[in-house]
Amino acid sequence: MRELRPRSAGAFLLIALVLGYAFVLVLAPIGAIIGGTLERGFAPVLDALDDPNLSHALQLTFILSISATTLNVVFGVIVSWVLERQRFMGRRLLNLLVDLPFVFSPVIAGFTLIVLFGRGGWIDPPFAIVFALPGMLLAKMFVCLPFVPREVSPVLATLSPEPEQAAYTLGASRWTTFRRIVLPSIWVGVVYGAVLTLARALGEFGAVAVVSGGLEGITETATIYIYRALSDRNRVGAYTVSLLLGGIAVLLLVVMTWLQARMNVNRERRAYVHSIE
Amino acid sequence: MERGLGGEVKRSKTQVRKGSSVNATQRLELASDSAPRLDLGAWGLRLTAIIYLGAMIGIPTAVVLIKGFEGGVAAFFDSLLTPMALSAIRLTLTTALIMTVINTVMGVLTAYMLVRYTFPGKALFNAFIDLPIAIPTLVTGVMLVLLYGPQTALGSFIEAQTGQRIIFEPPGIVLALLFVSYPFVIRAVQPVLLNLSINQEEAAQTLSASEWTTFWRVIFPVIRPAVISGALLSFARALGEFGSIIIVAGNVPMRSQTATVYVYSQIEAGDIAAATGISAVLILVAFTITTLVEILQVRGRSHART
Amino acid sequence: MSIQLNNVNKRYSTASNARYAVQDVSLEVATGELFVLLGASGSGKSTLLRMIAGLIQPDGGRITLGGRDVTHLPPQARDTGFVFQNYSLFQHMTVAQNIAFGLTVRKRGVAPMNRAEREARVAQLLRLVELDGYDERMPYQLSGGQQQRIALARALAPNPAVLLLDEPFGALDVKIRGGLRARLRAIQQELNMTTILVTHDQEEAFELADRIGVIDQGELLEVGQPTQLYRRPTQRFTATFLGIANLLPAHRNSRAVHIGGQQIAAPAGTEALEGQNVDLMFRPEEVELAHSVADLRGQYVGVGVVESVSFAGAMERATIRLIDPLPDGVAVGHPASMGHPSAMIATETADIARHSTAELPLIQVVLMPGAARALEIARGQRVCVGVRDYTLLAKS
Repeated sequence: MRELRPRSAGAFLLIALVLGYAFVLVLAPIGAIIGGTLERGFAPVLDALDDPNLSHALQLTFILSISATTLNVVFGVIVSWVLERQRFMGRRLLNLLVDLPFVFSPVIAGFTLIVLFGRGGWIDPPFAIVFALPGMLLAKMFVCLPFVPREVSPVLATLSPEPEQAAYTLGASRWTTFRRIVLPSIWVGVVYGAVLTLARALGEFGAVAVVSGGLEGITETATIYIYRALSDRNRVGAYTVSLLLGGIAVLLLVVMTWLQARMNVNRERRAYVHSIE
Repeated sequence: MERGLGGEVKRSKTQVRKGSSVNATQRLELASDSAPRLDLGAWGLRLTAIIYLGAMIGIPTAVVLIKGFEGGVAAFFDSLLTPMALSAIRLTLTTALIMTVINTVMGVLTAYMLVRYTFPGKALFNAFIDLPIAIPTLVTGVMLVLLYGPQTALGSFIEAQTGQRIIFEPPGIVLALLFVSYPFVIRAVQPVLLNLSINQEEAAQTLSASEWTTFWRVIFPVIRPAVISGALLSFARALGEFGSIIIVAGNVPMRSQTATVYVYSQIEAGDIAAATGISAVLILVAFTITTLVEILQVRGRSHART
Repeated sequence: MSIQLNNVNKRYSTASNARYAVQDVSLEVATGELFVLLGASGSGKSTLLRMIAGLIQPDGGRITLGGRDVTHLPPQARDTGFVFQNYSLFQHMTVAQNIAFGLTVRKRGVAPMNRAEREARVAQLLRLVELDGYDERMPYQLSGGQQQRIALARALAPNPAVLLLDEPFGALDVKIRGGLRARLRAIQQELNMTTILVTHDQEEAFELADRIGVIDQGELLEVGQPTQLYRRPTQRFTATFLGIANLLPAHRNSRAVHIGGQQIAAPAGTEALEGQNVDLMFRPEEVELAHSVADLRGQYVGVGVVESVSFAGAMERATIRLIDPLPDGVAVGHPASMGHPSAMIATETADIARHSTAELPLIQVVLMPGAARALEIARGQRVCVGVRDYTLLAKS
């Protein structure tokens, strides 16, 4: 579609409508939380940050999120590779499975873990899974599962398999080929998927809330902390951590935007190569 | 950029691999895999992927479905037909539907505006659209309460004018859902609009079609599959949304409890049966929607190709 | 290293119709030979080549390289070099890194080269493909022809036993193909490298091949030297694919070939077709035109009407509509006027008019420049048609 400068009244109206909607829906609430947190100045904020439970919650959140992200990146890349470079029966079903966590309610995800591993559940694990860290890790992994495959698969799909085949004929093993030929082309997609995964993992609430039991200082993540702070009427604490998590989210978004620009450059360069003829 | 279910960027799989010499054999798929038969490495990878997906997703899904029907079909329906459950389902569906309609309309307008016009700050706005995906849903709820809560200036103003509270009431739920699904329709429609051939537009214009007519009769039919899939995604998201709802709507049964919040409260209360019933339904609906979206996207891509 | 294929086949996955991409192909390539697999798009030639390389698994048959059964070996273990139509260079590596790639990979039983040895080898190969000094360039800085030369160097670097090329010049400008072909041939001969090249361009096949294998719809139809396949094909597809072929329905008995009422000598080597209906095949450059049978030095075939004469640079083309003998085998005209077209009487015209123009065979003729004028041949004229060299094809 052609890109124009707005000239007609209708055009300006459209722009005003869209921007206005965006402002009211998205920007205003963000402004509200910044305002609400700093309502009484910085002092209460700094006080709230002093809470040892908070630092523990933040630590826990980061450790769990980064672990979940790392695991999901490794497995996610394998899943993408299998889906895009191998042909076998049932491939489309696997494809569908990958998309499922998007539409799964996180609460139900956590719930399934309880049904499986909880007291009286189907499996009796040797070490505690629910109401403990392993369960929370699994919950986080579940909700973030699709991001890496969904980012890497399209890149692999449009990547010609012939350089890989060339590498095979030159004697390179599958792993060597992946490491030296494929990875340099897909790493941007992988990192983008990883950042999305991390963002989602940090902000996860529903699944973890169900699985963890929310024991403060032990199995309380940052989001659960916020929830508890609200019910404890610790407004400033809740708002502060909310703002903190929101700020991290924005930072991750900046990284994602930069990566996207990078991906477009790569694609353009590849198109240029083929047009030299 | 075409967006997948979670807002991540998808690239079209129909981008032609230029001049691949295997073109003839790709028209008809070869009978078997490229890898040699006794290739342990390839099988190892495949098995890993299958176990990973099966364990992480297949098993939980099966668990809930099995447990939901454990007591038989009768018990399953019993758990669904309690007044609380029904109210929760009704609330969920209503808010999700309202939200989807608004989101779809505004999403199409936003995508159109983004592709059609230049204006200062456009790149920033484009990046900004993805913000709701990154923000934790709980934080979304907190933000909305801070903005529209009964104790705030805005909230009390609105309540005085319209007699309607935002927070702890359905309007708040709709706002929260709109926030978290904001990018879905936009990112679904945007790439289709970007790929739209200029020729069709110009042809319509030489036939003296107004902008509105051009949009409705030339552009919209092409983007319709993307619009529908974006709408379906928003709807699906709305069904499963939890974090923001529980803050914005509270947990008042029969009043402001959506399906997911209901499940949560049942789990907290220890009533597994009730929780499982609704969970099973939600999963089935989720599965159906995913399949529908997949079909639509495949069809949409083949349309764009012609 | 020689190559041997035995009954190799590959199915398409449409289960209902078990169609074959490659059907029961057997062939042998001798050491140092440049063998060209020639066929149209979709004929299965690329599939066959990739099975030899190990990139695709055959559904049946056996592939042997130098006496070693490699049918189930992965491409890494086969010691073959492969050049793709789209060069498929590693875009994020320099030219030197591309070429050296096969040398940096650890292979069983082969001592890895040290850095100095690798650099020397890369330099040697760059010289071979006449791109000295291009070490540090990136692929996107090179033209298509240059990239393809680097792809060739890369494939040759680990000194493979067999070189496989999949339509290597297909993506390149027509003008540079000629030079690259010659260079490839020179390199192949210098290295005495057993080579299989896949192409749909018969001109390329003629120029490069020691032997050509003609493949159509997954079947290997004929194998032979270029001149032999051109002049003495045994299959109709081969005849029409390798150049313009004039085909006239005929019948071979024990001594001669009958075309309508005409009779010409049976060519040597066609005894097997005795008693059968055949197609008489002759090339445009083997057609002789004259005003009377006596002026023909070749075998007299019949009388035709000149439909067109055109200038084609290095030659002249003519098309002749054969009116005698007629398709139904009826000889036209009085025996006395046979061979004297200008003496044909009116009643013959009625016989001819019974057949629509489309039914009468059209003969393509290639003449030396100026020949048409020298022979006083112009549009609408009747001429006698003779053939110097010809062969017979079985009716399929």
